[in-house]
Amino acid sequence: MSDTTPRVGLFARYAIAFLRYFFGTHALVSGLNYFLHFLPDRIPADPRGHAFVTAMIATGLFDVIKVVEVVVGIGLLTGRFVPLLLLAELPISITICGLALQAPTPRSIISGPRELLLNLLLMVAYGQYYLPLLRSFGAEIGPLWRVPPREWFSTASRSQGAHPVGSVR
Amino acid sequence: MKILDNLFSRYDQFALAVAAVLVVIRILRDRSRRPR
Repeated sequence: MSDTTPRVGLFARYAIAFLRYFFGTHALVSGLNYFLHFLPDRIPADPRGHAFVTAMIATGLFDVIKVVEVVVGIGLLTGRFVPLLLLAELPISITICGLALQAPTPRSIISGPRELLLNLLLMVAYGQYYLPLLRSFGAEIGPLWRVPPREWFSTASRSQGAHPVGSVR
Repeated sequence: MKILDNLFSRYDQFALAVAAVLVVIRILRDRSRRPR
């Protein structure tokens, strides 16, 4: 981050860390439990939710989701690739929230929206990483294969906003 | 405890405990690294 990056207060720093650890552990346990079955499985009781989840299991897509959850959990707990993994987890959080609100129980009415809120809150906390995505690069920037891999993470290209390769080569 | 059990699943309770322990470890680690 540059010198203009605002300093994070101690409380906020540890609060964000706490939420990241909580969200990461939750994802890791949920993902691992699907393969190892050390806790009771949580298939929605609501017929629509049940049908949705059983169809996902039958098609094998649930396996993919649970692998993503394991990767997200490991990443959030170790602090690696956090912005990318939060983005990968977002569709899963939206689905969990939607399923939980289909037939709300006293627990799911909190746990569903909480999942989505935590995901969004952490994305806001790491929001500076997403800001470049919100710029309108238009046609200025070239494709990634035109950029030598050693320059992908160079500070110069990041601070300019667009990679120099875009308009010249 | 009954209310807590209704609001937080086993997953949640485990995740809360792990998060709390990891934050405490991080605080202690940061404090030990800080120059005196």
